Amino acid sequence: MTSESTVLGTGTGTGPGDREHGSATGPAVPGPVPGAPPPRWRFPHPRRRDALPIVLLMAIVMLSGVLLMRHNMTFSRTDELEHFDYVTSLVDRHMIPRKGDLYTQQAIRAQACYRYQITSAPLPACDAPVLDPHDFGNSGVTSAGGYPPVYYTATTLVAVPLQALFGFNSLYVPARLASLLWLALGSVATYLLVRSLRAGRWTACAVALVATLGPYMMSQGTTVNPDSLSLLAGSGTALAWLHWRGDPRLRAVLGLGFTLAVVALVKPNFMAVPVAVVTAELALTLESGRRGLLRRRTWSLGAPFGRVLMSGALGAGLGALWMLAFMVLDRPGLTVNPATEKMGARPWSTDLALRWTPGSYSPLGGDPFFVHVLDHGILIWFMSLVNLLVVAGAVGAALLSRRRQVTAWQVGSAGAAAVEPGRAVGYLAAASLLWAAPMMYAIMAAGHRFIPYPNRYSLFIVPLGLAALAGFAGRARLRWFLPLAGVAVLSYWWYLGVR
Amino acid sequence: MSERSERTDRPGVGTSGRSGDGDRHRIRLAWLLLAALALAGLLACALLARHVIKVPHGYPRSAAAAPAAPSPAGAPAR
Repeated sequence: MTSESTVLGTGTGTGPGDREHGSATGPAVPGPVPGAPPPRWRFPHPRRRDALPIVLLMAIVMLSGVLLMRHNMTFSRTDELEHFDYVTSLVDRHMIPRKGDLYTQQAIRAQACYRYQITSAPLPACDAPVLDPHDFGNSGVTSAGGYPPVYYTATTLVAVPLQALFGFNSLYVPARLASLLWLALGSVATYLLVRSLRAGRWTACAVALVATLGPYMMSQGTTVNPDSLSLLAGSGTALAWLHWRGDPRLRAVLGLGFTLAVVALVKPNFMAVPVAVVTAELALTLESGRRGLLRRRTWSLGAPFGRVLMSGALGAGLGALWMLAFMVLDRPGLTVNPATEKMGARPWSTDLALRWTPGSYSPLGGDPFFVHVLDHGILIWFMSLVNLLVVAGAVGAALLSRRRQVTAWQVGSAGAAAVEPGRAVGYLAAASLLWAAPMMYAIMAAGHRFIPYPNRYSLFIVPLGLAALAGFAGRARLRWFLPLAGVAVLSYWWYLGVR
Repeated sequence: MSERSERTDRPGVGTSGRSGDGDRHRIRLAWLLLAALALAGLLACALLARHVIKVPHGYPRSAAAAPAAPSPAGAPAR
């Protein structure tokens, strides 16, 4: 924990970062101090004064998750059986599921007992002596074969000790708790990201709560589902990029590349993240006016864009390599079942790609497959409002003029390497929302799917959009997140029975 | 001006700054405390979940008690 002025980078001790809401008489964000060294972005290591907001944040998120699970343990429509089967396959069969594998007994036993969100689907009784996988969805065959292992391995590593320690009947509840842990950590990462953009600690806490406590995000965070890592993937990537992008050392290139590879290996739709990072870096490079797109130096490893491009290629390359290897090596030519065959049969369709791609413009929109306990007007309203704020943050950052960016923080004679972090995060959000996620949707939707991709595949944009908003909204306006977070907590807990 | 000097002389993103050994230890301690907090939260949630989440009637006590699989692992369907 460094000192306040060091971490916040004001260098003078009089900057806005040292005060929660600015002075009562003066402006919330004072102008640059003449002659003082310009402020710098610092990695937001947690400090002593962050302890209380972080403890509160984790407590609210984790308690809310357990409360939701108390009301809803039925298997989610978001392919939870497939994802849980992957976890049990790692434990029971000591292997990742392959194309054509049947569900494990542990997975179908859990679904037979906890039942399925779609109540019309007939399921065997919980105490049936023997369960036949063919009596379950997708004709008993997993469709998660070949999925990258990051989420499932991490979840297994948490769930297995939990089951041993607390004696759960199966890995189902522990695996859901692991998802909740990823969500809570994502919430803390969002807090740190917003905090690094010089928001006060309670406003940063409010922004993180607003990002997390919506019914959409909580639904993902309380089911066995790689999308529970969306919050952590979005915020973590932004922090890693801001931390390493200006560092010319090889280890920085590899560090960012490794981070992007881990994110890309969470789920195929997360391949959009490295693409967004490279796009945002390119936008910043071109905007600086010092390096044109066609100049050799722009692409060299000596320039920030060249290095970030290398990191992005490393991350996206490893993700693509995993998927390609499975497509080629995993029982090629095997006929699995009519449903999955249908997924691979349809040829490219530009029309469908254009119809379905806008789903990514609205990360919290579409049909979230809510369980009944979350299906209430105020929660839907809240979710729509947050969706609007996310889009406003991302699009606003893309539309704002350069002149608008010259704030007290950017300061004076900043060169090409000097970028206001709020603007950088804004560009990352904009690149994600307007380019990378739609592109992934278009490729995946038009290539091989017979149903539209769900909006939740771009949930990683939520923390980026809100952080972008925090980057240019100003501290006074950011305080509106405090009552919004209050509404989120109270309405959410009201419907979960805390009255 | 090289990229390195740009990084150290100019304001901007990616400038982590330098901190002394004492600061490094405190930063490490802060992250350790955060990890401990996450672990404590997880254990508390597991304890709570053990009490508030109902186990369906007829659910075997453990996965080991469940009947054997009707087909070998990894077998292609049909």
